[in-house]
Amino acid sequence: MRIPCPFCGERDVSEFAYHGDTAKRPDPATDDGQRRFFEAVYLRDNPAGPHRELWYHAQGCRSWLIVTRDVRTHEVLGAALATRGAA
Amino acid sequence: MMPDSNRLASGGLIDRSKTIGFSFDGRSYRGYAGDTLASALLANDVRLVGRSFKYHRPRGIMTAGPEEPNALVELRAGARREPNTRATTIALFDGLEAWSQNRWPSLRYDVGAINWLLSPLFVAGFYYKTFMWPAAFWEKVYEPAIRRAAGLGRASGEADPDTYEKINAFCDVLIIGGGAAGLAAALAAGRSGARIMLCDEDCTLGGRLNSDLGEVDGRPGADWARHVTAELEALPNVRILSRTSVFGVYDGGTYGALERVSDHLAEPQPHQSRQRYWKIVAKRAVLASGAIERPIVFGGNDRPGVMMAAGVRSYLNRYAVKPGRRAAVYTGCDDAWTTAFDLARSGVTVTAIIDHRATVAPQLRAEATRLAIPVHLGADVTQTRGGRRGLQAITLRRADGREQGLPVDLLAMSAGWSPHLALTTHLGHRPRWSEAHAAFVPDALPPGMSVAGAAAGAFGLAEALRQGTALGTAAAEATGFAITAAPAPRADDEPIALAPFWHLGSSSKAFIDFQHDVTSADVALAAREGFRSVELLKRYTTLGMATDQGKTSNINGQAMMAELTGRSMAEIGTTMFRAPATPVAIGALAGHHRGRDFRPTRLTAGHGWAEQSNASFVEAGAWLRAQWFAQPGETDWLTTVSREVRDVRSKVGVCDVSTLGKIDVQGSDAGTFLDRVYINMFSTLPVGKTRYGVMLREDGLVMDDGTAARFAPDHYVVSTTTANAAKVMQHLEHARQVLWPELDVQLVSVTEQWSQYSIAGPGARQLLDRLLGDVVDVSDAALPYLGCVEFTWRDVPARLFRVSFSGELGYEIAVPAQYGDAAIRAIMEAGAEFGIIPYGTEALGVMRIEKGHVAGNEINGTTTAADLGLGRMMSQKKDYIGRVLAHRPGLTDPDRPTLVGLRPINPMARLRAGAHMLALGAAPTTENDEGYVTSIAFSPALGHWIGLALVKRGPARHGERMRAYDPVRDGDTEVELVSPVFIDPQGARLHG
Amino acid sequence: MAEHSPSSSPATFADAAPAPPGSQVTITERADLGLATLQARKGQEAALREAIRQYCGVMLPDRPAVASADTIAFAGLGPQHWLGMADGSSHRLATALKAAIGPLASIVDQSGGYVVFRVGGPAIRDVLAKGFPIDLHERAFPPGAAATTVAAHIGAIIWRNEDQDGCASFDIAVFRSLSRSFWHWFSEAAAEFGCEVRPS
Repeated sequence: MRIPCPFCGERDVSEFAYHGDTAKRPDPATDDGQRRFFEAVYLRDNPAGPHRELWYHAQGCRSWLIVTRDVRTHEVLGAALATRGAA
Repeated sequence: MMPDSNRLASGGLIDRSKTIGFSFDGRSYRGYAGDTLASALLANDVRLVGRSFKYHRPRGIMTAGPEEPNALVELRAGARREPNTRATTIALFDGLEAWSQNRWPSLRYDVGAINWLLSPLFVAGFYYKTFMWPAAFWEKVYEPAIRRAAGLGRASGEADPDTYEKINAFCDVLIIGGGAAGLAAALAAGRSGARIMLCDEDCTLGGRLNSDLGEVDGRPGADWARHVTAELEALPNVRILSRTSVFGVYDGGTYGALERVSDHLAEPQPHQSRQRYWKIVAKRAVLASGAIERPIVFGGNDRPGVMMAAGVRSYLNRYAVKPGRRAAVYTGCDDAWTTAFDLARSGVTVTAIIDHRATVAPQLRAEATRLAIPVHLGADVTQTRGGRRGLQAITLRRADGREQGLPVDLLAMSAGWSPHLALTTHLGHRPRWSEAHAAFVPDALPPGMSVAGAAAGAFGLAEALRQGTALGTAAAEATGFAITAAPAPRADDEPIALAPFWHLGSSSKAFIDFQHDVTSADVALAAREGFRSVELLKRYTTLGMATDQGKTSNINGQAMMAELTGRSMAEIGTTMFRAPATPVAIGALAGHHRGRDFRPTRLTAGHGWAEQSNASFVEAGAWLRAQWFAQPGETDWLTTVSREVRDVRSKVGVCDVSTLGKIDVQGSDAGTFLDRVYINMFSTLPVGKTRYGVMLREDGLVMDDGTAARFAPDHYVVSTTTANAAKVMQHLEHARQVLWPELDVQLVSVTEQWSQYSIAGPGARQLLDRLLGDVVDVSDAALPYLGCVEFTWRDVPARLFRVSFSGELGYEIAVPAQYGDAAIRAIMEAGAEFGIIPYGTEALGVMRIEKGHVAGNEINGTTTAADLGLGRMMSQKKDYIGRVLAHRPGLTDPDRPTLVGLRPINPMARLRAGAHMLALGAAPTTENDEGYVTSIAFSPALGHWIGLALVKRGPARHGERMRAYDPVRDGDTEVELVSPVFIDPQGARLHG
Repeated sequence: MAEHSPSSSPATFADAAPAPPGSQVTITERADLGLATLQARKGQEAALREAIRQYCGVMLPDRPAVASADTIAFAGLGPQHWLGMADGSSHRLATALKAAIGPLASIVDQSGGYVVFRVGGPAIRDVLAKGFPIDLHERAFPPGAAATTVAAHIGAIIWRNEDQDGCASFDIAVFRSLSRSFWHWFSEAAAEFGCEVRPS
């Protein structure tokens, strides 16, 4: 698989570390914070199709990326810097 | 028999001026440059080359290409011996040694052939049915017997003396296969200026053009291929890799290929690899992998002398070898008639063309008549007979049903062609059945791939050339290169009609998978027993699971199953092909990375000094760290380590701690940022101070610990453990870029920038004063415990931290790594008068256990801050990563195993890390397990072993006795639970 | 008190074989090179670019590329992240940049962090292809191009210089601790072409 890093250009997947989906970190101040955090950490959607996920370009520019990938075909539909996208 | 007796007097692509000597099974023979081992053996009239996998049936050479299922040999001797090498792909080199395999004591008199008589035992599902009971029989009886009787060649058992390498390549258009279609595609695309790679398995480009007599652009096909090769070689944008098999298609236009750099030589040239694993990234690919000829399933079809019809043409036309003297051709397709014609023209007596079809094209019959070859239409071969030299006669069943014997020593067979489409399916795309082609043909394709020529079902030469040109042009255009349209190379449209037929009923064994000895009876049995899906058929009978991946056999097995179960080929489908499409040595995949190069080694700047100081090294991740420094007369590590600990605690020692992770954190929000990633506060840390901190993962478990020093309001330096440095960096970048991109904070690793040495012991301050006194004040008042300072030392920036892992008065001094070697030598020189000694990671570990400091054994991914006795550090005033989930019930259960010290009741007893903690008298069961020992050490100060353990409610149970139970190493020690701080609990030494 | 002397640690080329005649690959270490990373402070990117331009006349590249003036060069390592380089300045480059740029960027001395090799010769691309998983072809990686990647499991920053002696020339920065492993891989990869180690 090859991932188009917005800074470095297209690179082999072995340069990247996978993190998971782009679930936001819940607001720790809410009443049901523990449930929300539990869901964010453990309960992940696994859609058959395009999936927004976080990858870290560990062996490149060290950017965190939001990669949209069709998990059925590994087709990468796009990649953006996480600092710029809405994570 | 005369040597080389089957060689034609002229013709072929061999170089008759270069004679090559080789041996097979110890006998010497002669061949020519351009021969394969198979062609040279046939030229020397060697027809029997191996015994089959299960039944030890005599086998000969069946094909002339990489799809060969039978002629597997052991190539070379000694450490270079390689089993299961296909004789049809081995280029002949001077001094080549090959041995037949799977026979004992010799190929001709093979004791294992007794299996043939036991063959009813070896039918499909034999293993599953037979070895169910009794279980103990498997290891003792069945497996050794089967391992001797069945199987293929022997590995050398010695280390491989050759080297392998990986290489990366990028191109616009990758062309896979250098036959007619591939060459046409390369020519069209190459002329555009696009970057082209052309990979071909053979040593010479041309594919079937080298074996068939058809003409292209008015010249013999082989000549045309040479001519095109020369043009391509002259183009700077074209790279040709011959002897290279593309074996896998991966996501994103990535292809794996294996180049046999030196396999055609006796041994590699100096500094040459034997094989090269290419990882090719291509924007477009044109697959021109050709087609594989299908055998016919009839009784005795595996006898030496029964060969594929197109393979016979290769031996005749390319290698100038007559594979027999008296031949017949058995087929259902036009293409194989050419074999009969070529044989006749080469002087071989062709006694019959036997065609399963009732009618054929008139021009074929006319040519047969002209060459005086008897033709039998609507006829079949039902049986073969032979002796030790292979085929002697066939039984012909004519259209009227009458049978007659025909004495022949060569039967050329062909049931038509199957596109070699394995590479189209590696990403999960399935081929479709085409009635018109009587074959599976590519359907949906991997992104960027197109298929040309026989691989796409274009079996005729003219059509293959047209497709290659068109798809080569299209691929180059798709990558942005304009093409001046040129006409495709011209060739005649030869007849290619065929009628599919799959198998004939037979009373004797009719082989489908020659390499795995799967017969038509096995397929019938699988059908009867309900293994009717092609995937089940494959696994039940092992059809197609040999090293040839069923290249010649899958289609026949599937067709037979379709017929037996009343389904069409479209319904039954085909099995999935997976990479590698051809066998790839593990060594090629490893490349440079084997032995000491398995992974890179990280060395600190002080490594050379440590080597000179008699250090023994230990791997810590990729780092090599000094484990201890033995002195003369010390004979065991425990003596050395105990001496190092005593010397540090009584005098002063120095330890290289450069491997610890160091992260520079800057920005106006640096303090806020650290507050959010550590459980304790860092925004309140004064400048010039260092603080110990703990980081959690978001799930509430401890990720890492270390210190952070503040050098300015907007500048901290964070330290991590050696093992977690990269992980912490990734974690902090996640926090910075994903969680809180609004903060003004910048991170960069400075692990490699700073060489850092820990100086510990009662003499540490005197030493530093001697070393640095003229540039920095190291008095307790100026630099109290946890103080830190930046200064310039000998014109070099330096940092000094007053921290301690050992519990002694301790400092860490850091200098830029290019001065790290100079610094350690300066420290040792200044420390001489204070009795300084270097100490390694082992002494460091002993001292941290004596002080109850946690390390990787305790921060093991299952422990919370509270488990480690650090719960009080968790700030109540702020949020931080892991805070919310650290408070969930499971992680705050008072019964959780918690850090405690261990003292053996018998002071001589040795503790073992990993031992389980049990109440005295409790049975060693999972229910009674109350925790485990995480770290142990021999404490020189206390004179006995000590340990750290995680024990349920441990801190509340100090004074209680338990068992440390270690059944694996026969340990069962009574211990007392004590405070984890064994030495100086008040910290007087630390603050001294 | 004596000055510290820097060392090309750990004695990288100690095991180098003599170069055979007709060697097609060259390697040398750029010793005493000043190195410093710069990362723009929040919202200061434009001001930083302007300050660097005024300081040395270099426009910081916003992509993986090297921009240089007479004695100083900057390689783009990541978004708003550069590696500054200056021959002969060792750790003093970071000090000089801090004095010039002040609070616009986080500036960190990396003079000890990397060992920088200069490699070239007619066969250099064939050698580098054995480790670098990026396209170093003339068209894809012209002079001035840079990339951060991994070669033979070793993290590396590579950039292309102007051609030297008619051959492509590259600089490769690897972490100091890995310089010996890098050299070991490189010397094996280059052996078939002959490798000449040149003094720095």
